[in-house]
Amino acid sequence: MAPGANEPADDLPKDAHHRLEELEHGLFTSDLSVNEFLLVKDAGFHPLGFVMGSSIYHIGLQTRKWSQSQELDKLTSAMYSARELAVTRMEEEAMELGADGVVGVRLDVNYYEFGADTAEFIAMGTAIKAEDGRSYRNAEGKPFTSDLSGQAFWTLRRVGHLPLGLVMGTCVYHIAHRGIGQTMGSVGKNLELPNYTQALYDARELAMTRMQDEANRLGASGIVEVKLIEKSHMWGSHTIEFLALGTAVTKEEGAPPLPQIQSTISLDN
Amino acid sequence: MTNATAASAPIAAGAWTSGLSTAEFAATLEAGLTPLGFVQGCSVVNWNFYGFGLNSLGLGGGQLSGYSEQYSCPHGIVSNEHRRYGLNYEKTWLERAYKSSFAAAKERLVNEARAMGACGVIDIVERTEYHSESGAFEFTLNGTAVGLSGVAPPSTPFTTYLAGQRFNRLIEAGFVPVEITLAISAIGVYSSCVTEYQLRGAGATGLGFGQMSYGAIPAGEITQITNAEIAARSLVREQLRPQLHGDILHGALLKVRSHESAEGPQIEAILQGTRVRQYRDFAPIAPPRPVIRLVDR
Amino acid sequence: MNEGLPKDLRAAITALGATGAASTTARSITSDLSIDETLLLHQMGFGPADLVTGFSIVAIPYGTFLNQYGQSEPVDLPGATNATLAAFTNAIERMRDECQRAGGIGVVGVEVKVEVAGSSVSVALSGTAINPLASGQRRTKASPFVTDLSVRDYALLTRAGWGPLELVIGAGFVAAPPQRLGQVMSQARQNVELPNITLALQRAREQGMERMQQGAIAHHAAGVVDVTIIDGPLGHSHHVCAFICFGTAIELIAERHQLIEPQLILPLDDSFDFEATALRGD
Repeated sequence: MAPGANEPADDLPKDAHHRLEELEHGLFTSDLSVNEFLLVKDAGFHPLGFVMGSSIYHIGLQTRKWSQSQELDKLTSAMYSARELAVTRMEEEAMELGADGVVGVRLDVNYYEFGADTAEFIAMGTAIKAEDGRSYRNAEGKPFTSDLSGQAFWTLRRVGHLPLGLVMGTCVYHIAHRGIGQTMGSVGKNLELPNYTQALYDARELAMTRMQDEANRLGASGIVEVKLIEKSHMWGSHTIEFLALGTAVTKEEGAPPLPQIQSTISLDN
Repeated sequence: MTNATAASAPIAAGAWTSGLSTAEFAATLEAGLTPLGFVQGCSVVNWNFYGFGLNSLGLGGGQLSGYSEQYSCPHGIVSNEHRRYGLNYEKTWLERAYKSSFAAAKERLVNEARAMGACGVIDIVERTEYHSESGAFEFTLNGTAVGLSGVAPPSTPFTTYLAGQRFNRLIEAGFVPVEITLAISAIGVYSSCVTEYQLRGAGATGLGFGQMSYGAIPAGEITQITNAEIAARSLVREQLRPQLHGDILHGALLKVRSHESAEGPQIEAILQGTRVRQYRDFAPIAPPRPVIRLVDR
Repeated sequence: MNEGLPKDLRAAITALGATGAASTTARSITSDLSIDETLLLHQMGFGPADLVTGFSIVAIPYGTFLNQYGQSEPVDLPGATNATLAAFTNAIERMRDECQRAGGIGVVGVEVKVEVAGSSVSVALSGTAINPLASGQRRTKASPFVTDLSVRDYALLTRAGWGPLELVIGAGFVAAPPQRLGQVMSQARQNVELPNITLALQRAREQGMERMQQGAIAHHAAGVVDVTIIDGPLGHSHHVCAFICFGTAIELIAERHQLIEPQLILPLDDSFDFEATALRGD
């Protein structure tokens, strides 16, 4: 965690300060749809502005052993730090606006032709502030971040929960190539490939555990909308990043009773 | 359930085919309509025949009909490489070919439906194909002919792109489809020298002419192209309006594309939709209730 | 089952057979709205006036996208930024003129197509102008609004006490300096952030957002919703980071925001796709 989390840090782009200053005078911008905008209002929050952070990272090479399944810790840490940087910059923008949270966060990785092995990690969302004057910042004193849509945010609030933060865990794993003898031996047979199974299992487990550790640090009671994303990025088919991403939530004191849910069946295609 | 029994009679005879989805089929029955069969209409025109070059047009608008706009050279240079004028011109011969092709396909579709005793054709899907080796342009319309008991079919069955709930909602709202309608405009662009330079970047000087310079090319809007695009869009709507006879073009789809033709850049705008008529006053709906679906995405 | 529908349909078909053409007094209207949108609009006291369009293609100054050799800092490309803003402004103004001629109070559901080519940028707009059903209804604003919000969004916004003001635009084009060869070599085995490119992209984004905000402030808007973002390096010039954004500036018309209080529903349709999992109990 960055020291002095309540003050905006200084690695924001120069132009950002001016843009954010304008937003402090009451105008808001958001990429929320009209539905989401109205639902955020219904949930008792007001949008403050569109916030973003990004980081262009050169992901270096790491030696892999042809026949060994292993975590590539250098790559893991690169993928993690790059996202962390992007999210932190987005949080800084949100803090400068005095936000309680950021909803609708999108975390993307773009590959541009700047050069080989170069990727942009970008985080963007809409900063919001509670209309009841209470602070909804998380245990770290930072605005909560969440990839929940306006609809999901409203629903979460209706069932008495608050998002605490976007939590993620990642693991870049190299899955061993099989030896020629092994390949020949299994031709024409349907059998489990234990080294693959074990490698995939380990990698997912590592990513999930890391995500849960982050949630624990925030004092969360659970994680919703967990996505497990598996991508080879630009490393070839045997090296895979496992990314677990979700929103840590906590139960609120004095939550309203659960709402009535009506079941419907729609007639449109 | 009288509608259902009425509808089930011809179904039992097993004599119909249709491209309707199950949901659309259910909605069709709900409206009291009976699918009678799959109908089609097709027309092929020779496209190349119309594609004669600009030189045969006779500049100055002699043989041009419809919209045209000339752009003269401000430089006063006489050279074979330098264009003395630019021209936007409506390719009325292309428009006629496309329109007659659509009309012929529609007429054949309607004739098939009339022969079945249908009151209309719903769920019309169209396909256009250009066979470049033969220069043939093909226009095909497919749809499902439907009948309605208890009423005499109109002398010309209605045609519509709509089907299912969308069709039902239209009727409930007080509109009846009349026919599918289409208009097209095609504008040829013969760029003037200024347009040519602008397309290579504003502010460039003397491009392609050795050391000669004609002064800075105007920055800002590329007037000739902008005018051609605007003309394509307004002509297509002007051509469609008289076809409506006071009715409404519902679900209008405007497609504009520009491409290189044998005579240079060409901008085509196609506007189509279902011409609908209000047969009774709008029944106001109650303000809808906002809901949140507890389903992802 | 809806018993009234077949009866309605019979009446409709009879009406169709009775008259060859519609009444000559009615105006021919073209509309790209769906029937639900038409009904929703009607419920609000409006109807479609006509299909309206706007177009503009603007030249980008020669050489704007050429490589900026010898630079070590990101370079702003105001030529491209201004051309984009001009193309948008021209197209929107033309659409507003068409709307005014059709007697509309505004254009909804505007479809926006932007194309940035090597030396020009074009913007094409199309949408449906709307006008009040009762002729006596006064126009609230002198000049019609233009928005890419759907009729549904427009209705919902109105119900919550808000109204669209204008489509506001932002753009930023920034060239990233080329990497030096030595730099490339030394980075080959490292995980490092590339500050120059990060800066160029951020600058393009911030400039674009800032422009859009200025547009909103000029219209005395309370906020901007439904922002669409087109960003990334240009297809034809990889070193140029482009950012274009547009959204609808809105204002509070009612005294204060009206809660919409939606009802939770659970659709019993197929294609369920549960991804949400609580990993730990309470």
